[in-house]
Amino acid sequence: MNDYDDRLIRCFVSAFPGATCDEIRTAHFDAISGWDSLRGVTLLAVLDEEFGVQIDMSELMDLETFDSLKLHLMGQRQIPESIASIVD
Amino acid sequence: MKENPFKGLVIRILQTMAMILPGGQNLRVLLHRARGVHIGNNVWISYNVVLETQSPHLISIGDDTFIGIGVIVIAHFKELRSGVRIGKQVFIGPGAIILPDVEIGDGAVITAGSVVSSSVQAMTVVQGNPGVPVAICGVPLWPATPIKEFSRRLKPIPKSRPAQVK
Repeated sequence: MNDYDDRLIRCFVSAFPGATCDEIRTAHFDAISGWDSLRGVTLLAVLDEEFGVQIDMSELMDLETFDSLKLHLMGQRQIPESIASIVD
Repeated sequence: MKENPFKGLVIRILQTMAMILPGGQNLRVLLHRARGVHIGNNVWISYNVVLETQSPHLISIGDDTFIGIGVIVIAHFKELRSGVRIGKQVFIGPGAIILPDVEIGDGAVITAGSVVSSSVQAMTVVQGNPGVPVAICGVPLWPATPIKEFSRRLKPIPKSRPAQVK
């Protein structure tokens, strides 16, 4: 698990303290322990602070999974994963 | 401040009737208006709602607002009599408590069980005890927005925005 993944998981954990790492990586968002729309908004704020990327709630709900969100964030930042950990 | 005992009795009888009788958009609203609460059009008042026992005229509620089951609005405390102003298209969730000297802006959402001790900006979701802003509404929840659309249009609180109105 690289640094990018770690940072993204930390964002999820701060918004959903009861969720496990496995759950975050594998489940659909609405199956994560403690998921509700208000915590989803908290996640958006944390992602903005951590990655400098603003995502709409509707985008987050369309992405549905950790991997989709990760790809979306990397697409927004235009940094390939292989380089992301070096740059950061 | 000495209360007129007859007026006080009538106000409390009407309050009790409004808590238990049916008619969230008609009879219960009429009963609270008769007590002196200022209520706009198309307001829904659920069962077991308490709107300021002694001085209901200190409360105003705007059009298209929803007040959930078991909500308590207290508009005065001892000599503090500045009242409570609730705007239009506000959604107040079940069991919330609104304390004196609070203004709730248009389109705000107070989540269930929250305790609101300071004014709420328009189109803001407030949660907890004490209630704190947790999100901005992209669209008012009440009266006609589906929950899914409301959720999709929530936004984080901008960093530059003050956390509380006062």
